[in-house]
Amino acid sequence: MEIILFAVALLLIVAAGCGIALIALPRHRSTGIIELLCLSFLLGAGFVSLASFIFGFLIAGSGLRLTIAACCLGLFALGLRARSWRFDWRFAPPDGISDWALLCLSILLVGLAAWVSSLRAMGWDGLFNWELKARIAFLNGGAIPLGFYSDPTRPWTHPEYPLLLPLSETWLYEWLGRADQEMAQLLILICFVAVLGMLHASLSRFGDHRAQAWAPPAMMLLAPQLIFSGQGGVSSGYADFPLAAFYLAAVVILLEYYEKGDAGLLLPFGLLAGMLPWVKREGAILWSCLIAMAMIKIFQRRDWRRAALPVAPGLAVLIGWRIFLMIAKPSSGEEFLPVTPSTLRTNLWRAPLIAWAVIHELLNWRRWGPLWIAVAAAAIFLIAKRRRERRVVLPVAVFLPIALYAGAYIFTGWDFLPHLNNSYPRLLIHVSPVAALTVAVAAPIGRARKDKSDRSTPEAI
Amino acid sequence: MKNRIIAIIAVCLLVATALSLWPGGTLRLLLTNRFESVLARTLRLKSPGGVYDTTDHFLKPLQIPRPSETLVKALEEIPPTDAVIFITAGDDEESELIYRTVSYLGWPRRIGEVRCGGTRAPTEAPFLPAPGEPVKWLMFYRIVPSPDLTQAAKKIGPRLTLSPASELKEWKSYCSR
Repeated sequence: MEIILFAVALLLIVAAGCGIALIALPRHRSTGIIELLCLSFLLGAGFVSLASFIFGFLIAGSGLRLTIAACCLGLFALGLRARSWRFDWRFAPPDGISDWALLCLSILLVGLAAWVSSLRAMGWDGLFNWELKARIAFLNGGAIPLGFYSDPTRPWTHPEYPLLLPLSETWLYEWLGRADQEMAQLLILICFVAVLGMLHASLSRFGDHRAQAWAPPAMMLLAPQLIFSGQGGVSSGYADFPLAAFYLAAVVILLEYYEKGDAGLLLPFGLLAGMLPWVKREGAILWSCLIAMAMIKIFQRRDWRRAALPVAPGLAVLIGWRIFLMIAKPSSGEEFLPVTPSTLRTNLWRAPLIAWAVIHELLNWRRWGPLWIAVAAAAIFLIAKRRRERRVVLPVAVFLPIALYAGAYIFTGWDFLPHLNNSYPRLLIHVSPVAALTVAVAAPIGRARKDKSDRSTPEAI
Repeated sequence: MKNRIIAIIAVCLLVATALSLWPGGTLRLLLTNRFESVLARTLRLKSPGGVYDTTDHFLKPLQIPRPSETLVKALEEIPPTDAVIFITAGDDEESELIYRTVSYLGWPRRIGEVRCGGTRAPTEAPFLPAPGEPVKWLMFYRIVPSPDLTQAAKKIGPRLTLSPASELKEWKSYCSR
């Protein structure tokens, strides 16, 4: 029974996301079923959490749950209607021994991540910063009570953190009928599956050779920080991996916009990028990076009329959440000093030490294996080979956030090196799937180009 | 051009691999320690599983069976509007973890914290309920409550005691053993 209820909750998320994806994606775009499912899960989680937050002010309990469920089904119907009620979900089975072996590796990777998740408890922040809010919302009928934000005995829960992950967990709890810490870990495992699916889909779109699809799973397997150990990994219950999944999906759509110039991609890109600040506060930095990159191309192509599409969702989330926090008055203190020229001048001496610590972290094989060395090589290769637009988009999407994250420690109010050593490794998780994609796209494998028309048509909708 | 770039990258990777595999090199150490650092440590961290998978893991120092359920039952006796103060022997990580887990399980009760410093550090009260909010319960972790509190106190395992607060005192006075 529990499995059925869990499946219903998950299917409703996917149905809502599928509806949004079918409405937002250009009609002529060939979208594979794997990519559609991954996008549906991500967009659906964003929708369910936002709907829980907004409707939670008006209704609670089973009324809230049924309202959101009706909205999910309504969105799915709207999506189908936008496609003239046609849902052509053809799927191409793996072709040849290489494809089967890759599928086995991916299943092995997911199984390994599930096994580690079942063995490990959540991390400190995973429970107290994220799952705790899900439990409180569940105990309160689906919404977090306003009193929680200003509770003077719980500022350590960081009530100012955004709510995509906690309210998505609450959605599962409501259907299960109980708060369950193991189920919270399962949600992040599904994000991991979505990351693998998006990597596979994006390589069948941008890759030159099928063998390139081996690079991302291999990179992830060799980087223990992502799956096996460390804070922020799949088993920790932190919001870092879900943020990485949204960032990867947004980068993939942005890259496609850069390469094809299809202005119809700006809306799905804006929706995915707009969820980043709703997952985690650092998402605002990632969102800024992506919007800056999108704007450069929009200005180049003179897509003025659609310039607001990528910006509006994220801006609405950022402003809406800011206004809510002004009303709720959260009780936690600020970790960072005001970002002013005088603070910069005072703390600029930290910069070389921060740069050294960052390089040291990127070369930490115990956490990352060969990932960052391979990314550096891939970036050099992409730029030198002048491989169309991806020579700019992928390296910038990896290295700009890394640099901005590092720069933020100039303004930390804490002892900056311990703060960096404690939190920077998990910030690198945000860009690691895009890094794995960069390595795969740049991998110089043979000259044989796969026949894209053969690959993309059978599994497309 | 392309072949030259591939050759340069391949040579760099070969050199890096050779240096890493050299006795004492990073990769050699990595291969030797990988089982210990990755899988063995993970296995040692085995969580109990179930609805309270993580909180049971965090509450292991309480040395009681099914600690989360036991605590939830004990806290259910406290009316949701009553505030509680968690008094602990120090500001070490274990005490902080126990306090936060108790606060997690104790929702919607407001649970403040007093860290008794002893001779090494000052007593701190970082998270107290709002002034004027009645504190009617005290929870002692690794501290034996004063005799006037022990009569009505309830032991939750060997290290944790829950006691009604008969009268409002200065927080520091609860730290004396």
